[in-house]
Amino acid sequence: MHRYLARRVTIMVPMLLGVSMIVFVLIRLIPGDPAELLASQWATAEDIALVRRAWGLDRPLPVQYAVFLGNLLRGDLGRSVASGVPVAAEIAGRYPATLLLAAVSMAVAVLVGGTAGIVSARRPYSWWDNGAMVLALVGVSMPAFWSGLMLILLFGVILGWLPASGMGTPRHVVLPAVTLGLVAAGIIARQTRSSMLEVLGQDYIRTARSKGVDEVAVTYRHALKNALIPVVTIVGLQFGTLLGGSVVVESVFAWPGMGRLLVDAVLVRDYPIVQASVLLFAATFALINLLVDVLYAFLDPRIRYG
Amino acid sequence: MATRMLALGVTGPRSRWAQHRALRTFLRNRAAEAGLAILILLGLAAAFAGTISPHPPLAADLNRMLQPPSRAHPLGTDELGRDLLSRIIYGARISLTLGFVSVSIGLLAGTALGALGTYRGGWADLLCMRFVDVLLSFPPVLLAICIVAVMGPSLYNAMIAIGIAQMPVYARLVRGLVLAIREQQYVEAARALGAHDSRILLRHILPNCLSPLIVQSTLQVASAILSAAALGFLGLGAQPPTPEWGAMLSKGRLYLRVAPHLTAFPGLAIFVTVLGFNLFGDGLRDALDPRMAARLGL
Repeated sequence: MHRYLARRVTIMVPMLLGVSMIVFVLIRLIPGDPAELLASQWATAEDIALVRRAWGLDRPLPVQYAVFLGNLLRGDLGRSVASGVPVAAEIAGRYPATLLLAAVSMAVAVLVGGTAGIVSARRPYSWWDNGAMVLALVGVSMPAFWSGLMLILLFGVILGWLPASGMGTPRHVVLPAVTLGLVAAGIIARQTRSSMLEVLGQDYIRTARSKGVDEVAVTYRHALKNALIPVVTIVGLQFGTLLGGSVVVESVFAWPGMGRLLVDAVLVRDYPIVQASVLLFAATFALINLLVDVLYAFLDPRIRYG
Repeated sequence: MATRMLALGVTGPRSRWAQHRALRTFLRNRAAEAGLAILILLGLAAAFAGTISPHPPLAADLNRMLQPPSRAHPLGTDELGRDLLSRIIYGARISLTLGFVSVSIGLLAGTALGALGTYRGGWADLLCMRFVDVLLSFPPVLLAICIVAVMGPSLYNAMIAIGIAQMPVYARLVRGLVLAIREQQYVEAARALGAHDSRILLRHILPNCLSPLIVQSTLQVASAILSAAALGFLGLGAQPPTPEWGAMLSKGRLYLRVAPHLTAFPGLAIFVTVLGFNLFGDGLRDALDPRMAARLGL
């Protein structure tokens, strides 16, 4: 187990380096002189030259990348061009909000999607199955910003049951988490169904049934456990969708997270913020996939020796 | 369109019987039929937008702002008094173009990346796959946002950004297919006959990748349309006054309390379109991949 873990962590390091390199290069591809962007709009040519030296923009790109990486490792992400506040401080307040939203949404998704998938697989081609799968497809096809606004309209404006925007009480998280969770729920439901159906067709399930194990135990003890592996993969990958979706959903519900920060930064061309938040999103996604792989090895001992 | 796609999908060593079987499976599938019907309607709406829309999509009328649906304006009017139905019909044109262009970019670039690297093997393969892995480690919409941040927000840049963001999916898929097909006897036979690498790749391997690629692309169009609408909604895609559904929604939401139709209808249009592609793509997959269908007991 330890060796497996060590191997997975070592794979992650070059991946994150690659991600940081792509983000670094992308940001430098922006047309226009970053020094001009950083200096105030009344700066003279000398001022700009000064800014260029001060930020090290006159040095070769590989050197700039090395400096950038060194700063990154020390937690120095630069300052926001728009507000002058250190990027790390801006992000520190926002990151937990996004993680909270993603975690609650995933809980909603697993609960709703998993249940729908199991119900479908137990009675394939019944009304239950068809209904659940139609709903799953609807969930996957709805744009999150639209379903979010419709939920606001229904529960916030017309019924007045739940707060429509902001963050603070547990009631505030309900609408955004349901909006975001429904997207992933559809995909999880479909994966759970097909993976359960595949397992339910195996010989050992027939053996269990023929020796008189009752259907509930067959479903949950024999089938579900073995059907979980592909579902866990999908859940891990869906975290990426959720993090991406959080950008949209945070905008709809005025949720003070990273997604909202990123969109605002792109709109006012605040590149230090864009760079740092994209890196953080990618690192989070990588870390979650690492956790999924570890969970895998835990669920299925065969993987450790593969 | 369906028959042509199906015919394309089953070129190669499939029999006539398999063709009929695929077509029959597809036609027996109610959901797939519904998807096809939605897509045909959308295609018609996009093609004849000029003829069927009751008003010009950009004609503002400040005396008729934010009106609820009426006989003159079946879906109401927006904050500048423009006819919402007309804008949604023109929006179909934009969204379908968006979907097809970005998927084509992703398909071509991704297939090239996956096929060349894999078939050559060695360093080229390693380099291509590490690059794809790095791209895949970005959460999907975020890579597109990052690219838009660099190129500036516009409809065209959104298409390119989404295309690039979709590239790794195809590279992965093609890689798996090429690895499997490369070992087939007919490829070995072609090689024994002295066929050149590029001929083997283009004439023998890629045609047999077609049906999975077509299925994947149909589903990718759905996700491209969703992503593009999300970019439009965030102000990072199509800019006003372009009648793009996502951008329309982001303006409409400002009037959610007084004129909810401005939010409801453009979103409904996105939903129905994406649903159409998803239904159609699922049906195609079941029809073209008998192994999967059999495994699921269809």
